[in-house]
Amino acid sequence: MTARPTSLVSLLLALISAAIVITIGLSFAGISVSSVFANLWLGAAGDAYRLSETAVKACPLLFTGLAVMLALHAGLWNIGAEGQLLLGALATAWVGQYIAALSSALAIVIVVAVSLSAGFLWAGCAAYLKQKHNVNEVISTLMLNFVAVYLVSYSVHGPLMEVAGQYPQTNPLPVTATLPRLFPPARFHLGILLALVVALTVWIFLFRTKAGFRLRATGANPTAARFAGIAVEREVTIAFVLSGALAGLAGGIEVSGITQRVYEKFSPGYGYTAIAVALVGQRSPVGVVLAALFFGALDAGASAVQRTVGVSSVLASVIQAIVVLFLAAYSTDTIQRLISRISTRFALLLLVGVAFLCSH
Amino acid sequence: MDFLVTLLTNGGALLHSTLVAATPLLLAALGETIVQRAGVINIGLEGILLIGAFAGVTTCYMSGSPLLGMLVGALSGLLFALLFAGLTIGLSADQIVVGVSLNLLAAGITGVLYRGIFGVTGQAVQVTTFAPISLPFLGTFPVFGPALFQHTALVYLAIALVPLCTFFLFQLRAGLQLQAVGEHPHAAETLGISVRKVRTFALAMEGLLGGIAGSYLSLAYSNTFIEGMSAGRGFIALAIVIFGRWNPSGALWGALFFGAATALQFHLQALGSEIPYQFVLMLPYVLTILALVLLKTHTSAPAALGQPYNRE
Amino acid sequence: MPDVSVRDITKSFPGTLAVDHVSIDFHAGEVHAILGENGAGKSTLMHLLSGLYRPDSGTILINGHPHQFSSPRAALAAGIVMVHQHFMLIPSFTIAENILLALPGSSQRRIDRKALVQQVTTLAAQFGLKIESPDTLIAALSVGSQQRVEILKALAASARVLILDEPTAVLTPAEVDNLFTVLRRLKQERYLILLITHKIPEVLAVADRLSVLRRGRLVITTNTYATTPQELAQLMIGELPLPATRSLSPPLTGSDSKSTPPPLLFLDNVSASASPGGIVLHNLSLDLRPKEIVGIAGVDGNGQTELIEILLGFRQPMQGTFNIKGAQLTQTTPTQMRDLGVALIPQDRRQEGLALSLSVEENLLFNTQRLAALSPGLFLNPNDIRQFAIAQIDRFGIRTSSPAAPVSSLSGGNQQRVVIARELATHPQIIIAANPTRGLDLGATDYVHRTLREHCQRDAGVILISTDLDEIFALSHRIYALYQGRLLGPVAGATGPNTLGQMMTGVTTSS
Repeated sequence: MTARPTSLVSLLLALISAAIVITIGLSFAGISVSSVFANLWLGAAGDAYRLSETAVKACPLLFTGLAVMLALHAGLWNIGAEGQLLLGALATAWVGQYIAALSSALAIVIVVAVSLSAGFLWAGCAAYLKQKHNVNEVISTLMLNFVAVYLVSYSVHGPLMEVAGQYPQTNPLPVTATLPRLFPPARFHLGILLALVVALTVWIFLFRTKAGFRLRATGANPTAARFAGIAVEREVTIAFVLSGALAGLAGGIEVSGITQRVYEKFSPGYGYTAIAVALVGQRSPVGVVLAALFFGALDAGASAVQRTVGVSSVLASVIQAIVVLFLAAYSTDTIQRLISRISTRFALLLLVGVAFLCSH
Repeated sequence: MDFLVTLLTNGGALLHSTLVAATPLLLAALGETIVQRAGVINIGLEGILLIGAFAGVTTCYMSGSPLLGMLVGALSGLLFALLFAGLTIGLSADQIVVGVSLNLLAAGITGVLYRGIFGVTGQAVQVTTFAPISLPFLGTFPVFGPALFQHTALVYLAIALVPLCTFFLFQLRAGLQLQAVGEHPHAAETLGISVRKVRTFALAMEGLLGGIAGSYLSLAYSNTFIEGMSAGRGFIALAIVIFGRWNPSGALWGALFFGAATALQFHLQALGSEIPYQFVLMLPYVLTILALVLLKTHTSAPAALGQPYNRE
Repeated sequence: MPDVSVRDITKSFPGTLAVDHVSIDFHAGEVHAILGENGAGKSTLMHLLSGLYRPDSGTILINGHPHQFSSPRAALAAGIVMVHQHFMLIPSFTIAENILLALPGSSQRRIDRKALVQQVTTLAAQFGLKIESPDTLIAALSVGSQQRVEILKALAASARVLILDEPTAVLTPAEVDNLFTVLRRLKQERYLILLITHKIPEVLAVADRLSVLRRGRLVITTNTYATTPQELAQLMIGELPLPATRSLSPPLTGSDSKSTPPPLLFLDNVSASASPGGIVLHNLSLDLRPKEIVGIAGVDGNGQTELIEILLGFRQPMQGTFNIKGAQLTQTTPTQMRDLGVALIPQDRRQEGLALSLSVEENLLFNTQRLAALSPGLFLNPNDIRQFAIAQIDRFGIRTSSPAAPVSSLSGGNQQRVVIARELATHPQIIIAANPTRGLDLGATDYVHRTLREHCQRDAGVILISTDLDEIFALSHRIYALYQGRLLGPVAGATGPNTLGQMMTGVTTSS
């Protein structure tokens, strides 16, 4: 795997810049900057329970982040992770009706298989439309996201609605199909470990297999890949459906590990946030794990901030967005050239200094 | 038979709801049409709508004037769009990443500010809204009078913008230059057209229109602000642009179609229909994909759509 | 109508002196050809005139007054317009709309289509430019028609000086005649026409005067009637080294195959269609035997791309026989060609050869056969890859800080070494080298040549397609020329260089 020092520098600069902007914004609004940051930290990592919440919130972002990252390596954007996740969740809720009698291990395996397949097939629709009919995958996946949302709505109001018939949600998964909590009462569930295993698997696939190499080659230079004898269209399709499968798995794990049911507005936009996670993760599985944890920490921390300081928990989204925007800006050629002209060390020192001043 | 009777008697109400639902979609889609004709895909339109909605409500709350609210909403949308322009055109950052991030930012900022300004109350904030204006004479027609001609001013504005945009794009030299930028930016540059300036202008227009569309949501469609109230309309607008084949008049039909679907969902039960309303809501999206497949719509897309242009 | 002059004009780019103190006087009312082969500097010189580039030194004079053009728009204001080789027309617009965009800014805020159509029709008639109805879409026009629209566009923009860049590259003979008629008409109206070309017959047909450029310098400016085609070819190509004493063997005739080894590759009477804007190949016959280097000279744009596409399996021959190592090929794919032992050193290493975001060792692996050979199973062993990479880096002398370094950090010469290492690692028997030393310094060029020769010694065959004649003569056992999609040659003996020059420039069209 190639290390790109400029990318790490950009990330650091982006984090520092975001911190500065947040500081300025909060001061302007008359809110105590130190208490916000302190509560962010406490909310994310203050005690074991909080740490587990960080991991819980990071879990779906990790799966979907890996999905987007995988597609990116083949040169594609998978904007459909949101819909693929929903289909994975829905399929899990559906299969849950039939597996109550099975052993726990088998039930969970089925959940994984079903959610992978659902995401795979949903992405496959978009892949088919692209290959056979040249439909732009950004548009088709966006449309399919909406179809998925309405499918969920229809299902939870209709065929999959809970037996009690009170709320628009599915029946809870049978206990055997539920991912066990590893440190009760904390919500840290087996699915989180599974996510790490999947991250490792993705890494092995991309960097230690021939198939993964072909995929990366296709994304790195499709023309050269074609000259090298790689079937570029096939690689793109494979990347896309694998990406969809991972996003589908995200949905299944979230149902099995946390919610047990599927309902309207099941996803607060995991599929879209995943794009930000993939970017911050610098397209490496390790990076995506760290980025997902970072985003999860912000989510967990922000709910603590809401309780104590009173600032809405969507502050997390603000911070996440600002970090990504800065990173996107700093990764451009224009800024990269600027950075390499000013010595990077000097720039870093400068910004750290400014950040220091700001906080006092 | 019963269905038809119910449809006719409800027809007026349905038509009215359609126009109301279609208006924000139309405004947003017109903005995105101009932008895509210039070769840019702005997924951040959703964020622009949300910002416009919030800015509109807040201003109206503080000033009591929905008109002022709309103006501030338009300006906020403009600022957001210029941020997009600065990053994607000025620095050539990736359009998808910036668009998605701006949506995230808008959701976050509006949520934080809403709570910060209005506090946590059980009830949603309420503001005075635009009053419907009945067009003289036309508004008194039986059945279709109220349906078509008793609307808030923004509805009329949106519809009036359609021929205006068509005129701009196809009858003005400046509009042709904008299209050239979206078709063949290199050729446009050799003709002395600045790709950067044109695209920035297009995005600015979209910002204004999107901001107005957003403030319509909180100042006419409803009378309040709810977090995430844009509810995916920015993405729907993207579908409408394609459905309408990058024409303002096509955008009108697309907006009416999507608006009708939205309106229909509420009337379905009254119409005694068995169709689950979700399938009605799904229909426009499925049809958009179908349109792309069957009508070979991809060939009417601006040739350089989505490709960043770098001057050598 | 202006007289235009360039005085002592110079332009260099990093690594090359493209235009070297050139001075030419152009007269209004003439067709003036700028002749030269690839890299002669003719395009750069004309780009200086049309405002795309700014000169490092020297002046541009129009009617005696010095001018500086900051952009093509400024040059247009002074009346100079370039008609590019790749048309700057918008395919989904009509003829009238394209011309409207070229009109001066102040006119026509509001589009009056009827008046515009009238204007276009009148203008076209005035200059004898036969075009379709101005309401026709560009996409529906033939290449010849599109070119006429480009010319009309320039005239509508009030240009007085028209620069045409290789205008006949994609035209049929009838369209060429048509174009020349138009040019003569324009000349009569006292326009100045500058024609960038490498085709001598055309120069003789339509130009009044001509200037020959070679390696950035002006060789001569003269009247057309004062020179001969042979002399011009010589002036364009210059003094070439005589081929080293190497057996210039006669081409395989088919019957005489007792003493000569069977060919590695065999094309007989192959024709192929072209993509829009490309060149059609006509009745190509070529053979390649082991241990030999076949050189194909020619100016860019005469069918080289299409030939490479056929040899690599990206384009199907429409007729004729295509044979590799005795096996007859009908439907070819790139994977198939690779499996048959065909390798390509591509013309543009950054676009076609390397994955810039990947590391050196990953680029060395960028070859499905190598990949398969190194790791027969599903997995890649990083140690094996590292060992392989180190061995290749050693063997091919690639200078890099580490095998894991991004290939974008290497110099041009070292990047080319990576490409070569990758291509030659599987010991291909048929190597197609397209301008393999373009943009490389002497040391790197030397290295590439040596490597190609070495591989030849081991029973491989090389097809060298190059615009660099020194390279062609230094390496090739047999030399052909590619002109307008036809393969001419082989050239032989002491008259080789002259004949080749004449073939490349269209003076001689028979083999």
